[in-house]
Amino acid sequence: MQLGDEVAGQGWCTGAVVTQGMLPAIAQHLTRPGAAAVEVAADHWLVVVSQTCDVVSRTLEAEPFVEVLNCKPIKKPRAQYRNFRSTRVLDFRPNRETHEAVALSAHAVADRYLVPRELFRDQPPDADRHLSSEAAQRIMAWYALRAGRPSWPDAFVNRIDKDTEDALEAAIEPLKEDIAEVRLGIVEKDVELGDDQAYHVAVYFVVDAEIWEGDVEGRAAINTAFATFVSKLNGCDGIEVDQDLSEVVSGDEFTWQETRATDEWNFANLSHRE
Amino acid sequence: MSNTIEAPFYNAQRATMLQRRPSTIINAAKLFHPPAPMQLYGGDEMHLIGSYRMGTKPTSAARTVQIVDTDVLLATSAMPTVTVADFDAESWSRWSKASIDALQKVTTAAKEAPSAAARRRVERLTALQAALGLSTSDLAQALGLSRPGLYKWLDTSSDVKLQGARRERLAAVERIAKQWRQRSMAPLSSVSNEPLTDGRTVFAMMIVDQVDEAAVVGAFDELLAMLAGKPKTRSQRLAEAGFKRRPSAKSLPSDE
Repeated sequence: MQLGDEVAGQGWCTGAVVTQGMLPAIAQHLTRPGAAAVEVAADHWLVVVSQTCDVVSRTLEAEPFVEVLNCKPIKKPRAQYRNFRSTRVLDFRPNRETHEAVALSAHAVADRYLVPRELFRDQPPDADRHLSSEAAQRIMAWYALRAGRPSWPDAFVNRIDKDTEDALEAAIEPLKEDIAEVRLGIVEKDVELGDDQAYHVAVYFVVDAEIWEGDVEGRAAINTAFATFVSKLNGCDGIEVDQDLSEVVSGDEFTWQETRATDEWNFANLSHRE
Repeated sequence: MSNTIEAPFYNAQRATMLQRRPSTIINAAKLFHPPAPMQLYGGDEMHLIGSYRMGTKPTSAARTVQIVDTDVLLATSAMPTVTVADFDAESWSRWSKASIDALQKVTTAAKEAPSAAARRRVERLTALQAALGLSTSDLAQALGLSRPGLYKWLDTSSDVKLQGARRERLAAVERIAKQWRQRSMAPLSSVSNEPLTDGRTVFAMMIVDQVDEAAVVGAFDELLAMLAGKPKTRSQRLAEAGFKRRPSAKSLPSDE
């Protein structure tokens, strides 16, 4: 039997949790160079965050390691770290069905370790604790966001103060139903401008084509969100919204070229301030 | 954080102190003998301020007290019991600044808070945009506005009053939108630039100085026929063939 099949047979996959009993076998890998092994307390969740297809990859050579994330319990997810607000720290609920009251927190890099995959061959994951599908998706999307988010100029980000950030977030709350995506083009996207110079931006709310064609109420909510968003962003000192270009657009009309000329708006893009 | 300043015990004198600058409250507090604690919310902590003579011990609701001036007390729930020796002008200065900042923020926020009329105006416009689906430029034309003018109308912080001809124009376009909405969930823009049998387009009919509402609405049956005959978009064909888009991560339930 191939290594991957054995690992799969034990039940390892994204979101599986390492048992306390397995810790002695992997402890030497839960460390940094020159540092003592990290303590994984009984209420920590040491979660597999490699993609399942990598965890069960057939040969050891193809995927020598499994990535695990040491998640520590917290009282509740904090506003600045939940829902992708930070690409450094994620606060989340691991499984609302089985552990309703549990909230965890982890640092994307400082709490991530590489464990040789062969050590997962002989022992199964924790039978009582595992991430829900949603929590596993959240962690993977968080890592993707960390790697893929655009790097906006600090001088641009600094012009969006906390109150405005909150107001922008409130404005686009209705879009969380996945009915539209906010995209932002910045002319000076690679330039740290001085205080006397303005960033020129174009804002697009790209609307799901089905909503655009058949949901008047949805379109009204999106248009309201757009009006508020543009007003708030344009109110920031040193940011000028191009009102000729900015628009609410059907997803059927927003082109690949326009996608490449713009970035998806994400509050994690503002996270350099942490 | 609450940015209001309020007194826990209301009487006429104290009520007049509400929403005043901290310096006013401080000066007033100095006049109070015996102590008259007041609650001020100017940051994350609750503050109690009152007037006490140096060396006296507070017996009011001030559970923990820090003397910050010779006769003005500042207390927070986080502070341990203190004595005269804990006099700390710096913390007073910090608190005072925080309170002033909070008040300024409240004042600014109050100025920026949209009026009911502004909110209603924007609601009307966004409902119009939703029904018509016109671009900002096209909608501005239909309303007889410039594009920046429409953005101003769409900004709840703008003090724009809808008057005269523009108000009537908006009402006319709203009536047209209502008629369209009763007939179709699709935006009018899907077909508004399609030529009618007489060669005109509905959009062209909507941007003239005097809109003939009856003529525009009268063309809707023809537009609906066009809409029904429109070829399906690529995304519609994909969806019908079973290709569904993946839900994005932002549609995951919030981890409140």
